[in-house]
Amino acid sequence: MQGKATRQQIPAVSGLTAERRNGVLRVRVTQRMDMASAPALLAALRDAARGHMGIVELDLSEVPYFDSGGGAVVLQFRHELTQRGGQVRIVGSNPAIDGLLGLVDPTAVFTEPPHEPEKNFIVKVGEGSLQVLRDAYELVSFTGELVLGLWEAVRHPRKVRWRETWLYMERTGVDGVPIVVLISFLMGLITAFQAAVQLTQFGADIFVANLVGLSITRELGPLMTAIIAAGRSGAAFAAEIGTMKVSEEVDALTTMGLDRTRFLVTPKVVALVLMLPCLTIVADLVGILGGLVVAVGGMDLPAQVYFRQLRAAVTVWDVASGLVKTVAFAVLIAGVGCLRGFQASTGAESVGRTTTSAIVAAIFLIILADAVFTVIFHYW
Amino acid sequence: MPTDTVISVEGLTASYGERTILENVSFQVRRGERFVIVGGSGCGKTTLLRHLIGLQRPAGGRVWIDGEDVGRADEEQLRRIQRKFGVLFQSGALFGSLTLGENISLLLEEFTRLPPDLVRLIVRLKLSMVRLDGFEDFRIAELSGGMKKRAGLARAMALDPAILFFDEPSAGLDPVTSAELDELILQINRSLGTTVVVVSHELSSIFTIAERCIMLDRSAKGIIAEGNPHELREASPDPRVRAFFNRQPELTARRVGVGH
Repeated sequence: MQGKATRQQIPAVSGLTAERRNGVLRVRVTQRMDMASAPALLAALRDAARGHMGIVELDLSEVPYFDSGGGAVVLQFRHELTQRGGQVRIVGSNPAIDGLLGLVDPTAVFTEPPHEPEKNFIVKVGEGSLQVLRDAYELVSFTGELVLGLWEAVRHPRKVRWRETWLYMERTGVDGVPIVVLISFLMGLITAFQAAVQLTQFGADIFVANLVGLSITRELGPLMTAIIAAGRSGAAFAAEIGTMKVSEEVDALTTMGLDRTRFLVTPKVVALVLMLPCLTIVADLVGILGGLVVAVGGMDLPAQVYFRQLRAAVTVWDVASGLVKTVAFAVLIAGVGCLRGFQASTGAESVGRTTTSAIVAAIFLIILADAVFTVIFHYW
Repeated sequence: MPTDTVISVEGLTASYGERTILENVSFQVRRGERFVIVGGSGCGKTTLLRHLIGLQRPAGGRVWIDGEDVGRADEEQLRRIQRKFGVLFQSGALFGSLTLGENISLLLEEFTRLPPDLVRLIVRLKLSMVRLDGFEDFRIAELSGGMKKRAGLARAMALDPAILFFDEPSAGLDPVTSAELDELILQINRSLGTTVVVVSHELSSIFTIAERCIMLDRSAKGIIAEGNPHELREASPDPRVRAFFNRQPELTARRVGVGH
């Protein structure tokens, strides 16, 4: 006796028919099995085989197009049925289907890759502490290298790579003039303007020169210039050395027996140490001019009066103390830029992280150093 | 253009500014063919490839892929054409910030509407095709050179392209790994019917992969030979071609050529 044939059409998917005969479910697919139709096809197959425990025969001989989407459907369906004790046989196929499925290892596809066990709290704390120690060690040894390198540069100035230093001086110094000019002019303008509002209340307009002169030369000039340099040059150093590290250029340098400090670090530090005070002088001058614009334009003070007051208020020491600070800032910016660069590991992402970290650390160190200098100069 | 031609280059001229690299280059690639572009260093192989995949616009002539003009397509059209093929770059060019699996699923998530479980399954399918089962959670930095190439191949195949381009597949690989990769390319071509276009100067790869090849030459600024590499090695009338395929310095080949 032939079993009763039941035929059903599954909606949403047009080219799929299922027929149950003698406990065998025969599914025939005549439509494209691609990534676009995969979700609907898988749902339709699951639907057709719902409650079916035995053998499913898949006839795919009339599938006009078959890609990985179709492959995923077939494998997933077979996997699900096998798991509940059923069986899927492909009774009709074509070369495209055989080719694709032949490339795949069906058991490996459903094997979960081994996951590393979750680390417990103590292990994490331990690893964190070790990391902090390693960072500290790197910092100390790099600082040592840097100090030795600079000492060497002072003792034997001929051994410094001046050609590179010259190039970096141009990049960190001359190329940075426009932005420094713009920002410090605006800083002078803003400071004078804010001061003017208060000072005119007391008829003390003339003291705008004192306020602008002192705040620019002692704090704002050096600080703003250093922060600009951190963003321009510190970041550039970190990215440059980071990329060299990633592309093994640093290793090449070391392997050739060349000192990475002398070649990569000293020129950058020396260049910035020489250029940052120069940039600061520019910033001081332009900032004071910014103040002048407000004094003359907004407060009707004659320029001569502004300058006379300025000369009385600002001493050489005020300017010099600002410049002394910038030397320290320059060492910090260039040093931390290079250090972070050397800490890059692999890939574009790590260079990005390195650069970010270089700027953040540089700005933090600049502010910290500025605080220290303020205290020192106060008790001098 | 006959229907079984999938790539057609007509009178392509390629130049960087004033410097002309290729002049009036024409050839065709048939559907399902394994086609290799060979030539010595600096002959313009990579330049030609960059024109084929739409990274560079031709200074003259046309590049057709699957009936569409790559050289004159606008951005939108170009993106659509580019979805028809996959490219394996020389270094793999995998995104280091993602895991291996994410490198592949990225494309599936962007260009298809598959649910996450099918995306994961297809990613594993692709990794299985290049024998990287179980590596989906690995970071790119943790993979060896050969694995990176295969991973790059898996990503290139993510959307089941009809054409696969390979830029120097054996560069930087040891002979065994390189041979395995060649074998994999053959297998993919045979099983999936994917058209394979390879740029290479590696003789062993060329002889394994190529059904047909064209040879470019720097001074000729174009094709100096076309055909099956085995036949070219034996019977090319051009001493430069014989020198290349027999791995001889060109001077010796010329002398032998005179003797013939």
